[in-house]
Amino acid sequence: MTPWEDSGAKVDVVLIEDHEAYRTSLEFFLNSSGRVQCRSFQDAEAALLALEARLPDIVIMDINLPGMDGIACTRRIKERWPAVQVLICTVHEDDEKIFDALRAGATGYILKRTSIDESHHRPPRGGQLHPAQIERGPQRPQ
Amino acid sequence: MGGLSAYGQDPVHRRYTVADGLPSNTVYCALQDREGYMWFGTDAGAVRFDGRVFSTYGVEDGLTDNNIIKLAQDSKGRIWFLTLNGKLCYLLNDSIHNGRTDPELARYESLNGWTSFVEDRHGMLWFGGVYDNVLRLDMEGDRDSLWVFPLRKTSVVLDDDQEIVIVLTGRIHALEGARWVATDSIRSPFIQTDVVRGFDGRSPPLTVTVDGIVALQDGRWLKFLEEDFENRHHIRCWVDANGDLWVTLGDGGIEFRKKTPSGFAPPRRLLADEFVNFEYVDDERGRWICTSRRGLVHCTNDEFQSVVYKGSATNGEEAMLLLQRTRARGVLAGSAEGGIYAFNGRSLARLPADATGRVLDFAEDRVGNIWIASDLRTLLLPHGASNFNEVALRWWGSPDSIIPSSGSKALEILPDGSVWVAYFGFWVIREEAGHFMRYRFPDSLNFTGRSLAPHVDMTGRLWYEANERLHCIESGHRKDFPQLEGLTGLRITDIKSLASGQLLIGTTGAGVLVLDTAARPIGGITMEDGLISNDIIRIRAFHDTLLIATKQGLQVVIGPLIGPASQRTMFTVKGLGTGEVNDAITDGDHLLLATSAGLCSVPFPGKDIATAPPRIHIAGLWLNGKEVDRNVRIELAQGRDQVLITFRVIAFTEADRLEYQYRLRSADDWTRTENPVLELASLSQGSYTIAMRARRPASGWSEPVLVRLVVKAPWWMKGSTWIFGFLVICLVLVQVTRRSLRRKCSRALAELRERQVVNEERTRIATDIHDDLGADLSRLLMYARQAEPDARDAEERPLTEGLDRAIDKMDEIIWALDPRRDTLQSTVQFIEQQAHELAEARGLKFRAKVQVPREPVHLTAKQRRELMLLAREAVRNILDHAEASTLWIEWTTETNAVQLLIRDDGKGFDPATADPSRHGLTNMRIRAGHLGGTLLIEREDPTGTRVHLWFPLPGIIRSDDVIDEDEMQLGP
Repeated sequence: MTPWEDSGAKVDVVLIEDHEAYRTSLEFFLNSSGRVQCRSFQDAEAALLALEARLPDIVIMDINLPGMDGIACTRRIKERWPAVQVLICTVHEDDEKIFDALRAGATGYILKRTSIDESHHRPPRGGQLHPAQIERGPQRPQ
Repeated sequence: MGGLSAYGQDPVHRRYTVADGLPSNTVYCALQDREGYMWFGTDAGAVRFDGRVFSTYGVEDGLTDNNIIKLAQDSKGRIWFLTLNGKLCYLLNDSIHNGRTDPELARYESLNGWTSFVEDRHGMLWFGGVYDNVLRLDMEGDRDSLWVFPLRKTSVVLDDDQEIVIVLTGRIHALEGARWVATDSIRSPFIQTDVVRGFDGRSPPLTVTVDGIVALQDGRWLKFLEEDFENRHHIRCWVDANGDLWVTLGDGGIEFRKKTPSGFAPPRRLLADEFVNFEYVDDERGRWICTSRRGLVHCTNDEFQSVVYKGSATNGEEAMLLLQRTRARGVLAGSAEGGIYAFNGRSLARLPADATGRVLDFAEDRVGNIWIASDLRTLLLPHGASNFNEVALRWWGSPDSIIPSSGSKALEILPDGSVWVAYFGFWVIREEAGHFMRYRFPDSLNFTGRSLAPHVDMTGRLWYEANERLHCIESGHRKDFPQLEGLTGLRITDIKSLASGQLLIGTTGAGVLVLDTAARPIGGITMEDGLISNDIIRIRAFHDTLLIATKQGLQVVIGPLIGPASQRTMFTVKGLGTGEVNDAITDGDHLLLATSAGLCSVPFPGKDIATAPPRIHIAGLWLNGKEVDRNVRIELAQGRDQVLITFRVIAFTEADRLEYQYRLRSADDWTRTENPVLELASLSQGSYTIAMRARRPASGWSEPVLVRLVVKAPWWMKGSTWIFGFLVICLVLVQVTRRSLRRKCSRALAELRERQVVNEERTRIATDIHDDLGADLSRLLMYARQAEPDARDAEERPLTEGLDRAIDKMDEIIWALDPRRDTLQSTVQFIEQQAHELAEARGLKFRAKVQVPREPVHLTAKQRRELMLLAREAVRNILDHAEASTLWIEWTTETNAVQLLIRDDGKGFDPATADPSRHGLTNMRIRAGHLGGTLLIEREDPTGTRVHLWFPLPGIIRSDDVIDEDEMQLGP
């Protein structure tokens, strides 16, 4: 049983991904799991506006985005809302940008090929996300 | 005994005529210019003489007339030719100026010619015409004046106050304002047409009247010499530079009056056959006598004042061989014809005796008997007798028999009165009881050869030469001096002793040797010391004066013969008519020479006999065979240019005995040279002031003539050339390097740009694959996992597995495409990561050891691909076939090469027997070949397999820095 399964509330996830097919597919599978409430955005600017309205628990961030890229967006989010966890989502594991994103404040990264279940059951690779924090759920700003 | 008057008294001279290069034998005048050349005016032009060559100037050279009456040089160096046609012309700097080149000169003309010239203290030039004009010429301004005095004889002279006066037909005029005022008039009828100031610079202007010679002094005529000159036409007079008075005679010859402290000596009539126009004394004290018909006569002062006394032989000249001053008979002279003469100072008297053969020696014994040695007989002139007799000798041991006297070479009388006759050995003659007894000395010695030049010294020792050795007899016995052994081989001609006891040995070929009282050689004098000749005939000593008669003349030495040259004076006197002097004596006032031409009486020259040194000029300067300007400094290239300098030496006497010295720099010593020519070819680099000088034996050195040369290194040896060459080479190298670098840079830049384009394209493709294909495959994988949720085996979930492999392949493609991964380090990391994951997935332990430099080392995409595929093949073989528990991968580097070792601890296999088509072994070897390396696959001991790859990688270095597994950054 994963920490996610222990929580009664749905995890609020914001997905920022420019590849529309992958974005809609992932959003669909996340929402269809029943434990996740996922909103998706095509670019960082739209996502940041949405975050102003309502903070998510987790942001799943593609690195390569049109306009503001995933690293800059991560830095912006972590500066403004440090409690929001940002997961970098990438196709290729050997990607230098992953390090830059982690330095910008990303909690960890997941490969796009990783199954949804695996994502639920194991912490993101190389990340700093503590299971206890996940278990408690993200702190919403008051 | 009849007297023989002296005759042939004319000076022995050299005569120059047209045969020698004179343009004419009618010579009017002479002048020595400042450069030393002698100029002569003739009726066929002017001629310049340097001692060897006459150079004639005539109308064709620019002279206005070929009749040159007078020559003069002004203070500016112009040589004026006073011509018979009265047109002015002069020579300056080798070019002749006349009325055509200088119209000013054409304005003045004297119809009867100019005859007198004077330069006054203001630099004005005065010309006097024969019968009409007096011209004042201002060469620097326009103050010319011409006074015309028709039909009056004019002479322009400077008076004692250096003021110009003119004499017009015997009347002296001085200039007052612009007018000439008469101051005095000659009282006696005058003979001379002009008035001439003496060349000695002291005597006043003179002219000749019928009553004598008068001098112009203080504007008056004063008596200079009273003498009756009436009826003696064509008389002129002048005082020459020696102060001697010359009066030419209308019927030929001159009256020569030698200057004496009290006036002039009685006149000697000389040159009776000549009509003398003029006489000039040059700075060598040589006299140039210009004659009307027979050219030039040149003689030295000594020669001019000498007198020749000839013997009475009828068959030509009678050579005089020896002289002897006797108490009883005065000066005796012996001739080669056997004549014996007495000389009384004015004439010779032949004594009635026949010596039969050459007269070889005189000796006067203590009672006044005079003994004469000749070739065939020995004669005796008894004291008081008037006739010579052959000596009546009696043989020693048989006194009653009379024997012939025989010939003798020399005589010497010892203090004991014995007469020693040198012939073959010595005969000794003694007077005993009224008879002359002869015996041979010494009986015990067997003389077989000649015995010559006997001489008795102050101590009574008899010295003589025999068999080319010097011998001595002392007290009747031969005395041997061991030190004389060294003098063997000398051809001794005369022996004399001095009051100091020194012995002088005259030789043929070796000059004069000097021995001390112990007969030790202490020195000598030869031609190197200034002796006129090394062939000595006779030596005579008179107090401190030595007369050395040689075949080249008489050498007079005053002072010590040996020792510093500054302590003695040496000069030479040549015999008249011949250079050979056989003997000489002196009374202090005159020298009497016995010469081949007779006796010659010469005034004893003063001790201050040095004449002016010869003049020396540059005759020509040739650089590499081409004549160049001698007045400019000449630059030579070292080792290439040759310079030839010829000098012209002006010398009129003893020109064949000139000595030359030169030096290249003023600090150098003078070097003697035989000829006044210098050929310089191998001078080293530097500046030279080449000097040449000359002298004659009795003169000092001439003022050196200088030629300045600069020898420069050839251009290829100059420092600046080397620097320039070096700079040019540097410049060329820089240009070549720049071009090469530019080409390389251009190529590198082009390659870089190309690579950049390729890399950009690779990056774009990788990004597209990553972003689009990756996202699509990931999305499909999500759906596949949904579609195959429960399948556990790979075979049951083909979609998921297929997409997984596709994503793996895509990962590899992205990695291979990414240009940022084109490094060894990235490749090592990628292979490590893949191997690690594969090993982990199969449950194998993975161990890695990485020893590569941390700095990125470039690999091409092809190298990366070959390396990655080779390593993956090896790893998969281990995972699929080895049944191993551990997989090792080790990377090491060395200089310019990389090694990869992949090994396991599995069951291993024998590579030698393995099917090469299996396990991809062939592919691995091909890939190793593509890397340019070698692949070694072998069984690991005790179990397992080793795959060892070595491939070159230029630029890489050996790394000892171990990056182990834990240190490896395997990526996110």
